[in-house]
Amino acid sequence: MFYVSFYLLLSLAANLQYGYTGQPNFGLILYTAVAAYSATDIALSLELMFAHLSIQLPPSYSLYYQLTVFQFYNLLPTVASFVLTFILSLIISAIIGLLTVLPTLRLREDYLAITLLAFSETFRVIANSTTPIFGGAVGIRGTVDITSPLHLIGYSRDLFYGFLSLGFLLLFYYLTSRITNSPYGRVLKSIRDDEETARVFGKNIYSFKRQVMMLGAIIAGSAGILQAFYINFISSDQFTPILTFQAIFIAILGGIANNKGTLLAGLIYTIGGIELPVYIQSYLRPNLPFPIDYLRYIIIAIALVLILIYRPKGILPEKPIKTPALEVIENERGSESN
Amino acid sequence: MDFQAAIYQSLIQTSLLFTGGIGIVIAYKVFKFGNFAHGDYITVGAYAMAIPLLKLHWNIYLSSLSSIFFSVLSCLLTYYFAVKPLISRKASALFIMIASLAVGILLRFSVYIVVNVIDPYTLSSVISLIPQIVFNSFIPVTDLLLTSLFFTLSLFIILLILLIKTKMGMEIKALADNRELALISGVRPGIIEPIVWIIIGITTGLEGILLNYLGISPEVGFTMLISLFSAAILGGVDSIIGILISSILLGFIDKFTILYLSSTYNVSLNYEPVIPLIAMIIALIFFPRGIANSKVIRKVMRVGV
Amino acid sequence: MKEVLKVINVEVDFGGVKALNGVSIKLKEGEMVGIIGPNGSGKSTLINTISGVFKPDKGEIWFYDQRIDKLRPEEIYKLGIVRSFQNPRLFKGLSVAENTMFSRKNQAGEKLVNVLFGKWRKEDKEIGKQASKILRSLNLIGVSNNWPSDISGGQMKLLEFSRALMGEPKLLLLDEPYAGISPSLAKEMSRTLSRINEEYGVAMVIVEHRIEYLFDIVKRVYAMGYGKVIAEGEPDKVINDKRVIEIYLGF
Repeated sequence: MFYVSFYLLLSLAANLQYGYTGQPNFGLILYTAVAAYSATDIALSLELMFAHLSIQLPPSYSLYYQLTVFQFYNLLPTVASFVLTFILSLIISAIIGLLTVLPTLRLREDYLAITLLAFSETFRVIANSTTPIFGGAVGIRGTVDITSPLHLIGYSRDLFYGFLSLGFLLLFYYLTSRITNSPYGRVLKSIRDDEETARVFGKNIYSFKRQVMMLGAIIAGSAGILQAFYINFISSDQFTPILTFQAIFIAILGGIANNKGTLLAGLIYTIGGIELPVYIQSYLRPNLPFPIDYLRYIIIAIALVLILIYRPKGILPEKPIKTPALEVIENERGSESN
Repeated sequence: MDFQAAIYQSLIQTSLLFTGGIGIVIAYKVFKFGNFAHGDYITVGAYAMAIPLLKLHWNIYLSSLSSIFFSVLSCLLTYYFAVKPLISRKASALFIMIASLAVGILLRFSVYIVVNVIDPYTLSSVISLIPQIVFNSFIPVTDLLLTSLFFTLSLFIILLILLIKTKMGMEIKALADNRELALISGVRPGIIEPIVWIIIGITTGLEGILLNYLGISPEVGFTMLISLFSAAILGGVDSIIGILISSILLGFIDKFTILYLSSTYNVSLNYEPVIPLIAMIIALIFFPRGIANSKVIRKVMRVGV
Repeated sequence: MKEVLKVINVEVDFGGVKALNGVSIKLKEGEMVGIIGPNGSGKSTLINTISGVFKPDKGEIWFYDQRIDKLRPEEIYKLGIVRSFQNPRLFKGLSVAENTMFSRKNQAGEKLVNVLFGKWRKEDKEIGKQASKILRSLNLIGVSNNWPSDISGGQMKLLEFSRALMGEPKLLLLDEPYAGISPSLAKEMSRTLSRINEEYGVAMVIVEHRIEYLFDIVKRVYAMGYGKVIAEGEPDKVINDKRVIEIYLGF
């Protein structure tokens, strides 16, 4: 259940940035990565501080052991770390979103794509090579786990995080829908369709681009924070461009500029594309000489090309944005035909 | 800082950037889009050479041909599967770019599967050839250095001659400069376009050969993509002369900087990828149309290539 | 009647070629004026320069009592000058109604803060009413929910006008509005343009090289050639002017 929300959050961000605003962010996973590392480090630092232990990132085994014990028995500081970390990490995601968009405001789509991809890949390389804070190639094992003092283990732990991430998904879905189903959304689409003309009509396209990238960064970042807490292990190979690709795939499959479509496609993909193959691999062909993921990526790559050729609009088509103004016009149109 | 090593590596890097990046320039010039599958053609080529060389005990020349063959195949796949249908549907460059990203992933994970099936432990990260020193002078002249410089110079010269002097080259230029006019004038895209992709395939195949000296992994091409795009963009994205200049610039700046930082400040070599990123950002801010299109060069060179 | 537009001796130089070589025109509020001339005479360049796409190398452009030749296109738009394009630049992903509403200035719903707190819905109803009125007067209300790709070429042109009108322009710059229109539709177009002028009181500069269509609706024409105004006055007088005939014959 967690993974569904994870992929859907990323796809919502991708749909917002590419589907609505036409900015192909090939480096989307950067925000997830930054948020995940921030979450891990901030949570650890806060908790270590509350436990009156020295702050070391990544923590040594003994520190980590002490921390685990402390977490188990101390609900309040752990909750505090948890909540504060969320807030701070989301803020950091927004800041990184802003920083990465600034050099790209005037860039053409392909330059934008390669620049953002370069940012995300370079971050991954730096994180992979730097041991303090990032844990280097090994990563950081363990972070603050709020289910520990709540004494939730195994299945109930999964449920907890599953619902938590679902909550975030619904929250961001609601926010995104609110934002896109408005004149604001209309301007986003105009930027996607013809940026120059949108500018001539007096819209401040740079301002819109900045905001959209920051929003997307926050959404993608939230996925990273949730992942960091749920999996309790973080390393740079969790944040590869293939994740960005899957998010873009889902956004396009579901129908660009259609949030419902994104959700639908995301469900189809995670259940049909992820859960199902795992089932297939474990029961039918346990001797597959390679991870079934590889096949999945190949299949969606082929699928994406076919979609772009034969049905670029996706499953659920784009529709005019329902605003009060549109309703007024609709009524007029209705009375006209009478 | 070891100047000899720096110069040696810079020359090799220059060749890698040019040989690898020229295909991106050609794709931009003729098809007007940024090809995100480009790195993966290189990966395919590299493994198409490494596997026969290491596992089938082919000789080096046959294995090299294999690299070129499979790279060309990958390029033709891209053309017939993705680019041609999209062009015929008048898709925007953005769509073709995203499709190329998908094709790249298709190729990359096919390589992953092949590697996993044959020998995941060795092939996931392998150097199949060791550079041999041919003779010593100011810098060690290895077969790698000679081969890479040879590839670079011959590609440059051959492509220039092709585009300027031959009939086919003129048809390619016509298609690139004004597609409608070219089609009306009798240029046959069904023949010219695949040929262009074959050329791109050859360049990436050559790059794959070179990489066998330096170490390959299924991510090797994709990892290079950023540096290659940097070189292409800095050079003016559709200019052959431009990318030659930018490859020299970037090759030397990259290697000298990282070797200096590593010897003086103990900066790990792993941080090298940061340099092309910074170079690209600087390029985009100060030379948004690339060096080749900047006013100075435009006055000096009127070739338009 | 105030003067809404004054172009004074404007020169625009494109790397050695003077696209505009000392052009002066003026226009009163609510007036409709035509600009004719063969291809290459500088008509489109003039529109582009007034709307801010090109900056004049010499000369001045005044909108009412404000100098606008150094402003950017979006600033000029905000002042109340809207232009149409020869090839309609409509937003493909927005419906007819959405394209229209797009140009309305200062919409609360376009600010992120307002959207998050939902403070735009009331104003939006007003916008809807205004858009309906415009769409109805241009006979587009029936296709308001269609995509631009699903309407006829003539309707696309009208959509450009409806989008322009929503921006509450005081001056419309129309770049070859009759381009690609059949003669029967052209009569319709002329009627529409006159109606817009009457209903909304908006001044118009209509660039067109198919002279016949303009004469029903404008009382004054400028004839351009080689980047200059070579004649000005009532339509029949201008087309019979020797210099104008020369220019047209030469092509």
